[in-house]
Amino acid sequence: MTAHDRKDRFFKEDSIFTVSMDDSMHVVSENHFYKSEAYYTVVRNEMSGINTVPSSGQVIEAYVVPICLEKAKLSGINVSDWEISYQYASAPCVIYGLNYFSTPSEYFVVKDEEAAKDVIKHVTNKGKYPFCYQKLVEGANIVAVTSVFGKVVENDDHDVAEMIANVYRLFKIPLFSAILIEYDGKYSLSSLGPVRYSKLTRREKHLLGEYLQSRWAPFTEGETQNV
Amino acid sequence: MSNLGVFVNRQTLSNAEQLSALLKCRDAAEDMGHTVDFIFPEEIKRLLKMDGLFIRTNTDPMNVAFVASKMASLHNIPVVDDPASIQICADKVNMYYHLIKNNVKIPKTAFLKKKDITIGHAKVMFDNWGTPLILKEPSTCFSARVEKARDQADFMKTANRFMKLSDWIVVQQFISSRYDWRIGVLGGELLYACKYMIPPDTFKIQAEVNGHLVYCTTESVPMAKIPPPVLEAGLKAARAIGNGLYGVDIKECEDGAYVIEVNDNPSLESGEDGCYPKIYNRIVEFLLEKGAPGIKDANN
Repeated sequence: MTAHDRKDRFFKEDSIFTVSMDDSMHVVSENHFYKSEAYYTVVRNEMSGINTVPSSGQVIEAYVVPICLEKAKLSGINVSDWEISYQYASAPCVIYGLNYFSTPSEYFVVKDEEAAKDVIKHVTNKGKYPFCYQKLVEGANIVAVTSVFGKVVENDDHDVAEMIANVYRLFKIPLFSAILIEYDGKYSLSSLGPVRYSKLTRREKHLLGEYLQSRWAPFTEGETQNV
Repeated sequence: MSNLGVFVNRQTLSNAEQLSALLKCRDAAEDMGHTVDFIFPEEIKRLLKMDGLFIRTNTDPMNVAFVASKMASLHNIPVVDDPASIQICADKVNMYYHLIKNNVKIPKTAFLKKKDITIGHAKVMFDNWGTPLILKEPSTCFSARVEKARDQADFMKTANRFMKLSDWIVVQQFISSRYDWRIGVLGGELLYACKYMIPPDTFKIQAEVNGHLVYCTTESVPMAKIPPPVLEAGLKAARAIGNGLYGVDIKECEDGAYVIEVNDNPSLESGEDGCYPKIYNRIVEFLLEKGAPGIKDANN
């Protein structure tokens, strides 16, 4: 068995790891989403008085797109302008659902208003819920990057690295995917979302493994492991 | 003179009782010398020009009302409901954790994970807590996804269904009553009290019975007639959550008052204000004149 195979076995689907760093317990998961096992691990720790990173509030802030962008903007991070609507989006744009069932991992890039109609029908459940959209200028590109404890290993752009480091300092989520909008060499944050271990590259798994290497504990069912 | 934003949506305005309540709120603010703007989700950024924000749509950390609340909070605009209260109250697991931590008397309560959903575990719970048990999906509101389990098969079926929506669910001992007390609390003080008379054939304040939606009736109760243990439980439970506006549901039994849940964004349109005609004046005063004291966003 190679070291890579061992890492793949290590990062099993839904595994949660806890790491003690900087007087805090870092909860590492591929999914901190609201009402997930990782989310409730954080809530339980908070109620037990354990300083936990990320906090349950940071998780929610990060994964609700307009809140994520508003908070990031206030801390000086360049973000995409956003609007909320029930029916209409000015295309081209990126569309995110904004409801109980939506996730920022699911986004739609629409080129024209006709295409937008179908997407809007889908994300709003036929007009029942609002959605969030961000206007795209002609020539803009969507860039997805993965952050491992605030570091990006699969993108060499210094501006991206700096932005992701700032995003990590703000929301403290150990593992996340960021959607960026690039135009004319400049980046703006579009959203943050969870990222599955299975989607990590070999280098990303290696970096995450290094963070967990010294003091890690695989989460066992029903218990939080203090390490 | 200050400007109060009231965050609403189409659903809020499509209900005649809610619309009437909103107009009462507007009238109260205007009588106090303030102006009122109704703000819809599409124009959410207008709330940044307000001096205070009152949210009157369903709240959940995943919906647009939470965005409004959080935006207000990020920009230091006094807001009811504040984001921390929404985050806690909208999630029954988080809410009961707060009540337990603050020694509020609640029915016997357990949080179950997927591995706990077994016939054996169900049997133990029925043996210990009696029949029926109450199962709650944490994001329940208006009694949706709150169900009785009368036997182990019932328990398994309901629990597995709720598990599709949440990795943890709540199981509670059942406490029977003909009505629930609702204690309205603002800023840690009593705002109103009423009884929600539970319709026959159900144990919930709102339920579908034989294909028809049935609702509780509301009986406003003056302060002097609130049993002291009920008032005390209501205030204690609300203070365990925060310093905002809450509706605390309580069942009164021989051995005391049990808090069933604490709701942010409580209903105010169903006659809750019968004996308390100044509810909206107090909310407006709290937001615009006192600056929502004691409300802080732990995440800012």
